[in-house]
Amino acid sequence: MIGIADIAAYIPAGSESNFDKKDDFEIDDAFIRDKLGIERVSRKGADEETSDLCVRAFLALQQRSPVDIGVVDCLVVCTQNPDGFGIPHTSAVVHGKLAARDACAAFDIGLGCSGYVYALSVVSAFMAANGLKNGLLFTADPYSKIIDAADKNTVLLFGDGATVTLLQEVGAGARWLPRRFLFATRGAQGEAINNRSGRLQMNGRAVFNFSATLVPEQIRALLAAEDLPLAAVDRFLLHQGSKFIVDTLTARLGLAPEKVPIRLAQHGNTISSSIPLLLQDLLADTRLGTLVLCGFGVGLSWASAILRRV
Amino acid sequence: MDPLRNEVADLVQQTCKIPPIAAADYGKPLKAMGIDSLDAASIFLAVMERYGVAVADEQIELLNCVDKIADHIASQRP
Repeated sequence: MIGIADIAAYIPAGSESNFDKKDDFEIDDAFIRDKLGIERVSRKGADEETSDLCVRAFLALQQRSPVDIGVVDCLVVCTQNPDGFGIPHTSAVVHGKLAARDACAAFDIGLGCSGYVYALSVVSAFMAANGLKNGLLFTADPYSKIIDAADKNTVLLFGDGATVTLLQEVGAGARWLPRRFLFATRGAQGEAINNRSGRLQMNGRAVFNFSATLVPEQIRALLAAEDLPLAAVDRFLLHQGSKFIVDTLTARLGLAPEKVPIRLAQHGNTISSSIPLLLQDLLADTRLGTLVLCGFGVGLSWASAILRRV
Repeated sequence: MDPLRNEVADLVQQTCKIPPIAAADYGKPLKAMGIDSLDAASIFLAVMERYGVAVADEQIELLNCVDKIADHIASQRP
């Protein structure tokens, strides 16, 4: 069985302070801290491509869990903001920059905020089905490429970042195993987050209504399918859309806030990277045995998973 | 006082976790009570769930106090 061995991340050093935008958008410190939960949004350098963010995440992984790139046989990038115009696929670019071997599958997965949960299922199943041993699952979706600096709905929220998850077999490094997944899509409302005009547009209220109603429903269904009570879950790692949406979901699910970590303040909503950014801090905590992940957003798409410690 | 207005006042107070709203303040702008755009989204979701009454995006700015929200519910609910 394939599971998560380790996770590393790269957050670009560049950033913009939301406190500097208070006058432009008529917001105050309390709104920034208590509602957005985002004090700064990270911004990649002008010369940094999506693949470069992935490479930096891989270098960070080398500091945590040295991996011989020569044994990597699967390399996947989850992004909707690929290098250039998407050809070649960003995973192939990363493959080249890391000098990975030819005998290595590489493909992209085009999903947003639900992407990590989907990709975890796709890649672990793909590896298991094909006898692959060492997988790298990257998330990197730098929205700064498409953000409208004058759009209050998006510019205060989204930050750039990348993560890499090392996937291996149990016995070869895997510490957490995915147990069960649920996936859902509501394409008819997909316009709520779109890039039709070359600039990101989001109907925040539509996304809020979708998230607040359908995410708790899916999490309850996921746990019911495993006959697992909410209280048996050690942590709920919810997509970090904003502090407000995480707080809302926490309240609507009736969860203890200490079971729902929030990590947003210094980089913002990093789309498919937000869940692995939370997860990397928890992997080594042996007090934890059961985690729930839930990503939701672009699509509209939402996906949840249960992880169990090996 | 119209019971619906009291219900809406309670709904706003509980949704936004603010102090109870006095009847004299039912016409007071929600913004003046510290309720921001995100709180408003929560209020209108709660209205939808409790009364089955939707609020279109273009109506949000207009429904800016307890009285106006209650009037909207009264005119729209099944």
